[in-house]
Amino acid sequence: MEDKEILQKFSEPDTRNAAFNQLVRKYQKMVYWHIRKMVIDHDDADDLTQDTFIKAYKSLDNFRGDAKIYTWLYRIATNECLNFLNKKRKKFLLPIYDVENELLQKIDTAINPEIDQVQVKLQKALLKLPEKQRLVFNMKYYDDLKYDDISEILGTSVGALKASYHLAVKKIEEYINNH
Amino acid sequence: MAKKYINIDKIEKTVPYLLPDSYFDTLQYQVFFKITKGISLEKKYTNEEIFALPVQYFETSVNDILSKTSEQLLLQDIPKLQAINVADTYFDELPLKIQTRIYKSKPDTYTIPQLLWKPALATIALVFTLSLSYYIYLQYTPTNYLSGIETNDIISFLENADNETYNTIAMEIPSHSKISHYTATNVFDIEKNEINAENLDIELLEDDI
Repeated sequence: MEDKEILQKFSEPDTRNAAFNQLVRKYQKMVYWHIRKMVIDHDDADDLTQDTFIKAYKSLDNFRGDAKIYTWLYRIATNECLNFLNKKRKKFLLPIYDVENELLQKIDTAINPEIDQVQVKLQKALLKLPEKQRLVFNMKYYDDLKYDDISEILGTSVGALKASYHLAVKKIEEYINNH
Repeated sequence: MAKKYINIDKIEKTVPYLLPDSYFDTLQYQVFFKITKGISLEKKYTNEEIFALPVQYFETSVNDILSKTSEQLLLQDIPKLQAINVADTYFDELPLKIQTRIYKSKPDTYTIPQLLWKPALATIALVFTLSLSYYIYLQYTPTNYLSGIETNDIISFLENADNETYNTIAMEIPSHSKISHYTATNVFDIEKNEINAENLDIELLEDDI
């Protein structure tokens, strides 16, 4: 179902739930993997994915038709991730290093044990990046988003995003080759 | 005539400055000469003589470079895989989970009575808070505070008070005309306080005497 059709059906009370169901089915994997790569733990990712869609449900009526649903969902999911990680930091009074360490510990159990060691290194290298740079890298490298879309999601200029991605690649390659 | 726009990409990248012939060939010697002061430029020092190098650097460097090239991993060489696991049925169950949570959560739409009650309750709460604040304020005005004290207690206090206390009271409550009028020096001044002798009970006066 096209996004326009989903929005149209969502605006009508009789087809509202069916339309929302379609929306979740269409974008759940995209939202889940975006969150999972940021918070690593499945249970956290599950909660945040649900929260993202619930927020979307509550504000879908006000959604501007000219924007794309998937960038809007990315934006909500990104905010959920950043708030979650910030809350975690404040709750345990942890400096950035410790949250990073916690995620590093989780990754060992989260990663498929049969996978190549290079992939493990890549995931660990990603966790060494600052959160926003990690978001940029994930969206560009894994999700193949255009810089314009990432710019809309993160509210950062395309130039800054390109520089950030380039730096991220360098840092990751450096980590992979030195560890 | 419209001026032709020149794109920077079309301009050839050249260095527009003149440079003496073989400048860069002799530059290192020039610099070295300036550093060592006095060594003639006639003698051409080899690079190895000028710069310190680790032992057998060039013998091993090729191998180092080759080994690094073969080991050096670039991101483009790594296949894009989803390294993290998720249960097979997770995505089949997720839409239902989300919809269940939406139904359980408080509705965002309100009926007309709900919409009317909300502002009414807020107004009542506001009026109550303001009234309570005003009541508390009134309770603690100096007049009300003094009226709560027994007359006998005030008389007893004034009997034991010295001049300084009277002056302090007078200064503390300057706006109260009657109190400010009775300073330490005039509080017992009968004339000033306008006690009318005609109104005094003669019998009581006699008893006092």
